[in-house]
Amino acid sequence: MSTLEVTDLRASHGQLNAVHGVSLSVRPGEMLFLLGSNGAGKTTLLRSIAGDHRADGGNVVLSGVDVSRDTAHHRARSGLSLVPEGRRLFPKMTVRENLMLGTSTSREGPWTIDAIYEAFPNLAKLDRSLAGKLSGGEQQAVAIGRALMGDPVAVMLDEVSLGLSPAAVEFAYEALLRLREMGLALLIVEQDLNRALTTADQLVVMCEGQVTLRATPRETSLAELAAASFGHKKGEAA
Amino acid sequence: MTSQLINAILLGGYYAVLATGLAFMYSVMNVINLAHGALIVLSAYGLWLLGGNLGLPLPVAMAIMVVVMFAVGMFLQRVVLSRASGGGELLPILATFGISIILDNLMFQVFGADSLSLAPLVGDLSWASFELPGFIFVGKTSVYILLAAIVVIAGLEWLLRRTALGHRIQAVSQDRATAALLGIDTQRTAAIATGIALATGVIAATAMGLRSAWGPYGGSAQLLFAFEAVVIGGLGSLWRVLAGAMVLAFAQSLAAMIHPQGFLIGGHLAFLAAVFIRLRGGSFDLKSLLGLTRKGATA
Repeated sequence: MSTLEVTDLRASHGQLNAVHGVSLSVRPGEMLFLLGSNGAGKTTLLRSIAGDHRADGGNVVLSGVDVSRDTAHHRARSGLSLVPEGRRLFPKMTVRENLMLGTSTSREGPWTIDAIYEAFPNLAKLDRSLAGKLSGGEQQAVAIGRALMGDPVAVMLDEVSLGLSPAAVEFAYEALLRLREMGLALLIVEQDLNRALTTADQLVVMCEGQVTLRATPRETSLAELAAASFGHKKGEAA
Repeated sequence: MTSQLINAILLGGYYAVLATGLAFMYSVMNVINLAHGALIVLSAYGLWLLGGNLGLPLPVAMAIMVVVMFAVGMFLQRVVLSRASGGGELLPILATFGISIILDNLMFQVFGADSLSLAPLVGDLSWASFELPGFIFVGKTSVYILLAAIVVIAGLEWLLRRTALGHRIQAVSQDRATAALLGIDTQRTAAIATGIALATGVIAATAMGLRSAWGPYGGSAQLLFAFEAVVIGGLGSLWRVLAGAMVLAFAQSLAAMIHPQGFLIGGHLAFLAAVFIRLRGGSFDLKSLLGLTRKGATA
């Protein structure tokens, strides 16, 4: 059974239809990469799945339970976590305080502050630092850690590598691969197509609110992904 | 001179008690609660009913009213403020203005125009005083009010900075959407924060009732001093409210020494000076008025 099952999700910003009936499903221990150029509707899709943006229609099923009518905080408490674009940490709180906010889901699970510091050793020494003073990579680690503190079953990450140094990106993905081994369902929005090809279990490309390509890395190529993100059908050149 | 100085400090303590709930409400809920004064007067009537009519000791009456006003705050947030907050910055101000008018007139209807005081509830405490060296006498209630201000501010600061609830309240006030994504029930947290703000108003009501007499329309006078103290001190930390309250009280006392009728004018001048300083550079919005743009800005 899929951990996260999204069916025919539709969402809009005022009169602009941003997401036209997108379906996808992520199984435990699977990494789905959502690709597409700016304005393709990826962020809106993620926010609608998380309940941060009101969907116009469609269903979101989490571990077999329909959460489509639930508010964002209820979805988080059901085990669905979103690491938003730009990390959205609380800059005037310390790393520890930010992480502790993640426990607001009141879920049972393996994650504690110590477990987070074990997974992200660079955070341990920043325990009492203000989150606003950290580097981009450290902030991303805190944001992922904060999501994990809620003991989710599915984690969605928006623009994981945006604004990070190559080393920080590498570090973030090492952590994400460990989460995959632990059996979490991961839905990742990424601009780096090479990264997607080497890391993903499933690839979904969106353009103008619609899915233009679904494939596994084996079945597709960089050129095809690029073409799909500009809305070209299979076989057309980019 | 020393006596005037001490009295100004004690008066500042009273203004700080009045202003804390207002400042807390704005800094965590982004709502300027124009009903703050009327709600303090309402709490005072509650204390008077419980203490005067039912004969309960004042601390017991206060404990009951803290619970009652906490519930009133949660109710207000859920029924009025959460809806109004959706409509921008101005709508909650208008909504609380409406609430203050309703409360003022309801209290006039129910309790009449009589001036009331809580002083009879505490026996000789209301006129008892400490004698300081140099033949200076300070009223005991004023000293206790100053201490209460410090305790209330310290308590709220501790709650906000050191407890899980406080961190959730901060999270909701700084970034409601992200707070919800973390599993925080933003509605409930906002309701609790409003409840806390109104509960501190019970301390203010006690201070007001012990210091002086009040009537049904006394709310706006209380609100004015509270608002001036908040603007002079600025937000970011509630300790700044205490500082603002002190400046207001000193300005009033100083002006009263210069001219017998200068008391209010002195306070207003300090307030206007603070407004001019905050708004220099042409940024005419609430955040810069309340000193939030440089250090305290969150967005």
